Amino acid sequence: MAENLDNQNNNEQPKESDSNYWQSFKELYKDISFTEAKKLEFQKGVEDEFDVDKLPAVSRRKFLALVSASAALAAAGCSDYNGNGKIIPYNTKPEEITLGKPNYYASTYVDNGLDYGILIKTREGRPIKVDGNPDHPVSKGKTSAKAQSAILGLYDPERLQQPLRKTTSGNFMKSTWQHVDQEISKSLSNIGGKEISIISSKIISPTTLKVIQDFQQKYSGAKLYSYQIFNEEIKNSAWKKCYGSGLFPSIKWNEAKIILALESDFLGTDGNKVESSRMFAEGRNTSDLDNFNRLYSIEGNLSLTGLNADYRMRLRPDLQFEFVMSLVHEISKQGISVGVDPSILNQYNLYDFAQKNSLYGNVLQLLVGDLIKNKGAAIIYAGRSLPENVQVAVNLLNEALGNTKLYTQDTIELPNSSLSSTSDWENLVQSMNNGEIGAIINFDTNPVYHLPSDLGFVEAVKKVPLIVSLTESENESSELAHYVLPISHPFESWGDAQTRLGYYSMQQPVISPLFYTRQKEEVLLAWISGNYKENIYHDYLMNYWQSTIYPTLNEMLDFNRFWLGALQRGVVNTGNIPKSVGNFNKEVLVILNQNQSNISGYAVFLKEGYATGDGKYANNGWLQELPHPVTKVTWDNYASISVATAKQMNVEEKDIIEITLDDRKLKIPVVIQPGSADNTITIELGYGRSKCGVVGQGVGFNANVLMSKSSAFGPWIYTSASIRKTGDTYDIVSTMEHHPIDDPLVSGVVKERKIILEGTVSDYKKNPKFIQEQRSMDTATLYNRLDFPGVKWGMSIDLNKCTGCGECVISCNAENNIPVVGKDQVKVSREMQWMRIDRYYSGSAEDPKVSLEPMLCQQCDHAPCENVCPVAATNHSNDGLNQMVYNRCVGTRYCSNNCPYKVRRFNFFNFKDHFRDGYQESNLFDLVYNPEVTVRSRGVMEKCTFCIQRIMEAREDAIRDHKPLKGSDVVTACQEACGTSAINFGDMNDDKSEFYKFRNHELGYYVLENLNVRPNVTYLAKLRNTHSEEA
Amino acid sequence: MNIQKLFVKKLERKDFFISAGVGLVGLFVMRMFPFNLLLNRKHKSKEKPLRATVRINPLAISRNKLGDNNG
Repeated sequence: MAENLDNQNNNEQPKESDSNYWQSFKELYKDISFTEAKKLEFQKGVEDEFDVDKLPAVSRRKFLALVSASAALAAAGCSDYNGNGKIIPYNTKPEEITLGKPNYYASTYVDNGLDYGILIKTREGRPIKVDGNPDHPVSKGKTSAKAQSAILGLYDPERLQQPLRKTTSGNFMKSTWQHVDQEISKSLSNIGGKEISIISSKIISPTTLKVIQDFQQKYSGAKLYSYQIFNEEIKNSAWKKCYGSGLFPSIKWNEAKIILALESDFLGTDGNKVESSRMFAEGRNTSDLDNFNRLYSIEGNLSLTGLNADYRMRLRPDLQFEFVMSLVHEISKQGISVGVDPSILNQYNLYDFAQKNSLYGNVLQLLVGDLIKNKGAAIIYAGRSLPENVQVAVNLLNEALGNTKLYTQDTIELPNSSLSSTSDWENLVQSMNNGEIGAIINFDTNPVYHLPSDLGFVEAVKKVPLIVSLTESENESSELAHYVLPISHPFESWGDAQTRLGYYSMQQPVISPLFYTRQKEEVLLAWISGNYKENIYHDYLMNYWQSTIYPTLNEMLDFNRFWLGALQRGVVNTGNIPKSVGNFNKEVLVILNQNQSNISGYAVFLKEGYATGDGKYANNGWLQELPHPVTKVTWDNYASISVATAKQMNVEEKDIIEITLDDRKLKIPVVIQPGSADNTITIELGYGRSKCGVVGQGVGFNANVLMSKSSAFGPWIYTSASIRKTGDTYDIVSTMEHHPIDDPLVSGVVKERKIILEGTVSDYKKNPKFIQEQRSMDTATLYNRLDFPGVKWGMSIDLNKCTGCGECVISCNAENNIPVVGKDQVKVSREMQWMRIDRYYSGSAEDPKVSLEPMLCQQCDHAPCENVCPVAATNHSNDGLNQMVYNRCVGTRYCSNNCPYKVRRFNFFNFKDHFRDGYQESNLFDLVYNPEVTVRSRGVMEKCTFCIQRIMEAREDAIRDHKPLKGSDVVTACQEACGTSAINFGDMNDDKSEFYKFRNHELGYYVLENLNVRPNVTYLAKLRNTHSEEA
Repeated sequence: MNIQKLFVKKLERKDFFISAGVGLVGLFVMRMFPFNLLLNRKHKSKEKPLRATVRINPLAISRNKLGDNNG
């Protein structure tokens, strides 16, 4: 494929009109196999005869072959089927429970050193859905996909259920808390002056820190080490050097008119994504075009942020310093005082740099003009992975341009909670090797998997006489432990967190521990006091708050009432206001005179996995199956490279390459990513777990092995890598070409059939009707026009706000009991997600533009699926919904074949049983299901219902309260989860509603409008904020 | 087919009890048969999970999803 690609780089960005939409290389280069495959209803191989040996263990065929007395067996089987749980009424009904009605609890979810305010929905005591806490000042009702998916971890059938103790033969045997407490306390007391090393992730809970301090008082040799694979340490360190104190501030993204993201994925994985996405989208409001932001992104690999950029250029990450210095020089030439010695600046020239590295000179000119024109309203943001000198140069640029107005200095770090330095880790390893460490306590961490291999941690830790792992499930570190202690899930735990000056987040258990677990603080408290009692940490937390935090808050309420209120809201405001940003210390600029080490060979960039984070979420099926926002790959990581680099390496997609960095090697398959910088290999971490549950074990490749304790560019960027093609291949599964909206007879289907309509801000300013003029309003129909006089449900999706993150997909999974199907089924287009985010490229393969379009059932008034259903299993409601009656469905799949949007999903198996040999069939897993939604089985078609269960609930409430049902009474799951509020839902007949404005917006259009199926989902056309008149 | 004849035909008492008896024995045997032995699951969990008990934590404070009545 690579041979077909001509590198068309020149120094000018192609014009806007270059809009040949395509989703994959096969489509772009009109690959015959792709064209042929599109004509088929099913993927090749799907209709092949079953190979009985490869069927799951209990197939019907095997079942029937084994048993001839089918009637007797059926009777026997039916009397003991899975899920035949008994329905028993409460003897004493808990006061807060109303049967059939959910309860909500505010709490906090901690991930990667950040706190997210969450609201957990429970039904009859069991948590079933996580959303954002609307009262939380940062989350504001939104949360991350990872926090939503955490609920699967609560009901993971492979969670540790009781303490384990390693025997002399090296096997683990079950034990009791009493037993392990006694043995471990005794060992710790007899440690003999050796160090007890507690290895933790970043601690943001003041009370947890106090517990550790108490532990250190009791055991004087205890020392805390902490790490976070993905952290803001470089940014913070540069900030301290520039401004003397504090941490890198939070950014008022909503006030920025120009944003320049340098190797930064602030909409995806950098910093608090929930906050930055929300604020970024506030600046993409089509009703406020004067303040519509413009995003420039310069990065090595196409990221979620890059997808949303108005201008994007590709640059290998180890060249960012040279680029930023060239930009500083150019800005200074425009009369802005930057305070850098001219002899340093003269080494750099922006346009020479652009020429050398194939950046667009005309776009850089526009960028410089924009930054100067919007002084004080622009932000230049360097990704957390870039080295310190880049961060300092960026701080300097923002200072020189007066952009510090967009900083809010409210980020804080608790005292004594800094991450350990590389030298701390080296000292620990040396001490372990010298026999000076008496015990290691893995405080809910997995250092064996995470820490760089050249640190020698794994070999050293084996010399420690006592290793205790506190963990929810077995992992690589617990394998080496002598004791493995099961800790409670965050939803079963108490806690608090502080990352900002203005508030504390409160964490409360929304369910009592399901198993014989304790939360990690309780374990330490039991060893401190020598006596465990129930609620030991709850009492400790309350006492700490009463004695230490509450007196600082000037509260009017007495403590008990204050405490209950704090738990109810999930957040406590401190009243502290952000500090002012200090003066820039120009002495730090000496760092800019240090040029970097040689840049040669291939650059390797290690990124946080969108789905798996640092590997913590590897065992989470929802996240593993969530298509990657850019490549749409599921269930794997890979080496992402550019088209030209693939050609240079002579590799095709799925070829396995071996990457060598000094003596560190990794074999990993290749994905050719449009928009990647040449000679740059980007790999996401968090995969290749060798010890975790059945969902995540062995999924992907462990790229942590490439990390080194010493790298000139920081822990995530490496240069001078060498590559070898191994000759092996590996199957990468992507949903990119699945369910294509297509017509084989139409070339350029996206444009011709108006699947995507878009323009620029200036197009819209010049002619607000420009989208309406492009629509093809063919209203001729064979059908009678249907009227829906009451409430008629509709949805609008603002493509100016949608970032393509996939939060909505996860939310839909959780709300609608959508099963995980596994990689083998995704490969044959059988993923069950009711929503997908269609991602279209346009332009060249080297530098494509990107258009995103969430696609779900359009609830057509003249639904083509309804006409062809032979059993009327899909039909229309009188409020405009295209309904599915599962019990009627006989699985002809005619509806799916006739759906122009390809949004129907068929259960080819009972996926509860089929995935990972019945992992989802466990009784424990059943607790995650939403009782308002039927769990579908094999042979049934399904699709988006507009969350009909939520509509029904709102209707019941309206009837009970004797008031009319309003559109705004219903919030669908995807709408609720959408971090940027791109999705709106409501009654399209209510002309006074907010939704009505979206439904009838000047930018509104329907996908495939010329089919005249009258869809009820309106898309608001994307406006790119480019300088269209100049470019 | 003479349907009336079918209904008229009387089931012998003895046949009925034999059939019912065989059916019951078959049912009993089938229920006792350890079908799990026939499973060949790669990822078969090592042991049955302990029974999880769903209990509300009495110290947690619930709230409304939205609204003014939230403290």
